[in-house]
Amino acid sequence: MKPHLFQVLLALADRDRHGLEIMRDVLERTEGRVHLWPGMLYGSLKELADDKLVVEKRAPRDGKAGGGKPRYYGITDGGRKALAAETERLERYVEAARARNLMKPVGPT
Amino acid sequence: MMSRIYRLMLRRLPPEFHRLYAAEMEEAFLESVAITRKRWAMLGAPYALLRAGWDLHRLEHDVAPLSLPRWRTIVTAGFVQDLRLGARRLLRAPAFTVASVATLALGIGAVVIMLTVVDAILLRPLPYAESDRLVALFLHEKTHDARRAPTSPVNFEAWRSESETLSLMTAAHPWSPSLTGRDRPDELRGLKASPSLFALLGAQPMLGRTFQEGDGRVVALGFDLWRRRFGQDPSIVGSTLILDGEAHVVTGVMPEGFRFPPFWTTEAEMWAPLSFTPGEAARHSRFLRVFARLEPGVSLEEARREMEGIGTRLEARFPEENAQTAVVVEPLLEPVTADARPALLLLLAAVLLLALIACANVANLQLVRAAGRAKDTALQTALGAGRAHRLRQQITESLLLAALAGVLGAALALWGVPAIAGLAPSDLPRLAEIGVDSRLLFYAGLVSVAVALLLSMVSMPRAAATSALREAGSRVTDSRGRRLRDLLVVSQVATSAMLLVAAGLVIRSFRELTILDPGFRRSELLTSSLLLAGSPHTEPERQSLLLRQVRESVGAIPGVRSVALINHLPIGGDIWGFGFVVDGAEAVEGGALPRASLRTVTPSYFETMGISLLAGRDFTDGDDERAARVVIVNRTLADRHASIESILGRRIRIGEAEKDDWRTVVGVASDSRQWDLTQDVPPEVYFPYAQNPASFYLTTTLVVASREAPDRLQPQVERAVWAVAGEIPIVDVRTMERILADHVAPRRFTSLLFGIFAALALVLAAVGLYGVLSYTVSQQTVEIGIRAALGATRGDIGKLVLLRGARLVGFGLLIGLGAALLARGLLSGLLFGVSAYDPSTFALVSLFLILVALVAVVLPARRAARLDPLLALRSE
Repeated sequence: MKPHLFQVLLALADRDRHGLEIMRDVLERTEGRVHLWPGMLYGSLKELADDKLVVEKRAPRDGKAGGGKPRYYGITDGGRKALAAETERLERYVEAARARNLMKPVGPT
Repeated sequence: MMSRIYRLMLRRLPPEFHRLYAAEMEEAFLESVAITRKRWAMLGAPYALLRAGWDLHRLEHDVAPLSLPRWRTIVTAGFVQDLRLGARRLLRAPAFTVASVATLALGIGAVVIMLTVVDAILLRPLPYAESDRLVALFLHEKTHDARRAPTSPVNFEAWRSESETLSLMTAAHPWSPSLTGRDRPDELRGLKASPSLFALLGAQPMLGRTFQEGDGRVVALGFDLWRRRFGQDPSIVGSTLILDGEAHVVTGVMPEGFRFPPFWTTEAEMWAPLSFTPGEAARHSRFLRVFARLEPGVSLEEARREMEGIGTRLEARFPEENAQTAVVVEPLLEPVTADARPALLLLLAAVLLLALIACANVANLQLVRAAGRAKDTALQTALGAGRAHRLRQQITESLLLAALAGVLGAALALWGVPAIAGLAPSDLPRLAEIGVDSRLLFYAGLVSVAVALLLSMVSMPRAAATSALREAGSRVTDSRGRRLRDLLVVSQVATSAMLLVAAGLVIRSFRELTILDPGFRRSELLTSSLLLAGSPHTEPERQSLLLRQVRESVGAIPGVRSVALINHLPIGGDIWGFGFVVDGAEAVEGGALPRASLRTVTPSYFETMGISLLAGRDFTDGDDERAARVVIVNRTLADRHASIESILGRRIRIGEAEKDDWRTVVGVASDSRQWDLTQDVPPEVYFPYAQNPASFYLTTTLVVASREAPDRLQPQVERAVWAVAGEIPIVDVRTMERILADHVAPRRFTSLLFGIFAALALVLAAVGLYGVLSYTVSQQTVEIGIRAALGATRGDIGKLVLLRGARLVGFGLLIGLGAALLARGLLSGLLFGVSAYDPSTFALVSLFLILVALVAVVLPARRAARLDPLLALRSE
């Protein structure tokens, strides 16, 4: 899975968000390291929607974005599965790297 | 401001995507700008614009086409779009497109034509079963380096019985019987071959059967002969033909397209069993060509080694007959293509050069166009069109051009291949196999792809190097593009110079040949073959009487100056060689007898042919069966074994004949070319017909010298012959001019093609030169304006442009002529009477190229000189 798709799915994992919220969430979570520029962001959303990993949701009553009427997106069951599978895959990579002493061990030493 | 620019950038998105997301994207963009501003301060905004441009570019190519079904997305999305864009761009520049496509089509067409011809002749396997396992065997006669000489029955039988690496060994010799007893007498061309021939080739008859061991006088007909002479009558099988006066039963008809042999006597269209009676005098004379098949698992090398051993043993067994010889084993394709190969490969090289010039031309046009679009490009770049994008544009454009040109080129080749086949000399091997088929399309595709790659490669570094900032500036001449353009022009001039030199040398060689003195009259001669076989005239006594009567009868025709007969006409006819001994000369050189060609002539042959007698006398009617035996030798023989004067009165005998068959030399004739105008004249011995060492001939050639147009004499000559000889077939009526023209036809063909290709190359190079220089002038308008404003005269400015052109042409010429010198080895086989360094050709080519270049240079130079400085400065 492409990293930016993973980030978008992750941003939607806890609640539905609109585009700008996703961008902010990703920025925040990665401490500014991953900036999804608009093309990338909406392109990813479209791709994920086409693949039925996210769906467009009705905006919550209190939901507000800058102006106009933003589209809200939510993760589907398929999206969750894909996210879980991808996380597992990444985890295996991390473990493999750890086994070669490339990372600090987790937990008390 | 920022959002307005971003909105502009968003316009490139597909409409649907735009409708759904543009508003939100703009919002996200503005927030992103805020973030970058926080981070990069003043640089934040420009960075954001660039970054957003890149972002949208990636979206355009990766994400946006997602509205298509997925699999198509992956394969075609970007490409189809690129193609559509490319096509639109080409349509918008029709002049450029037409010029480029036409130029490329010319190059591609020429290459495809030559590739098709080369493929048919040199590459394609011969049309026999497992033809790559077929070999031809020859005798290498070391004394005069004849590598593909025939062998003798004795040798053949030894080869066949001793070889374990070769199977189905088959011997053959040409056979041209006259066909009589039907509506009109005719001479047919055939081959006598061992019955294993058909098994060797894996050939099956279409009708009836072929022949086998033990068959007597039978014959298998070729399809063309069957159609032409016997009206495709199936009942011909089993019927009888009178060939050379003897009844032959037709056993079968071979299928259409079956031909054998593929070289040496290619016109054979009828096959009969070969038989030699044991004890025959000719057991050691060499007249057989041998063919065989490599046994499974045996390599050519192994067969060669084995045959070498057999040859050495045979030389030991028959030291006199086989001295100074070796066995040659070659793949059958080798002797077929050997003669044509150098010229064909050279022509192929020539068209490849031509195609390169065409590519260079188009690349140049592309560069010029790209330079003209520099500002567009800069804008595109600023809006996020990356290097990769531009590269793709260039490559698609090249691809489109090459594809269009490929289609046109293939069409050109469809017309050109048959045209070339029609122009080709009839003795070009495998001429009948040259045709238009799917391979041509394959080659067209192949060449087009190569052209597309080449064009892309030339334009790529430039497309990649274009920097937004530099191009955005005003018309600062970009030195890199200019250098590339110059390089292209220099290489074009160089390539055309090479081609022109090659063409010049080949054409000059051809001219040398056409004006060469063959040692006999070129014109005012009519020749024809009288077929005596099957008539009572083959008996020696009757033959010499007949020939005397023919001479008298034909000589009485008004306008005929003199008449003679000869067994084989020089150049136009066969040649028979024999070993000879000069009385009193050192016995033999290296174990082998010196060889001479044998000519049997009637009196006044030398006068008729215009060959002068240097010493002694001509034959007379008195030199008959009862008179003392005499010969006339040519100058080469006299010089080699004595001198012109001292050879008179010396005695010569034929090596293979009885030891006391001495003949006295009574005359020395000047040299005349024998069977190839380009070959040195070998020793030659003329015998009088009445003392013919071969006792009789089945055919003889009539030569008539006339004051008026010789071709108009033919009906009278025929009547005169028939008046004394009955209705004997008279075939192959040709003037000597025709014979010589046919003889040089292959060279005419090569020269013609070379000439055409060189002319095309010259035109293309001139166009390229003109294009580059006029572009330079238009680019330098400002510079020229400044110079003019600072007081430069028109002459100065013209000179500026002229000098630049001259530099390019000069470099190109130097490189081209140098390369031509280096490549001389390739040419030497095709040259005759001209050195590969021939200074006059080099000088002429240089002069010619300079003249053409001058035309291409002068026009832009004049335009530059006439520029109005004010207008020029304002053009910015």
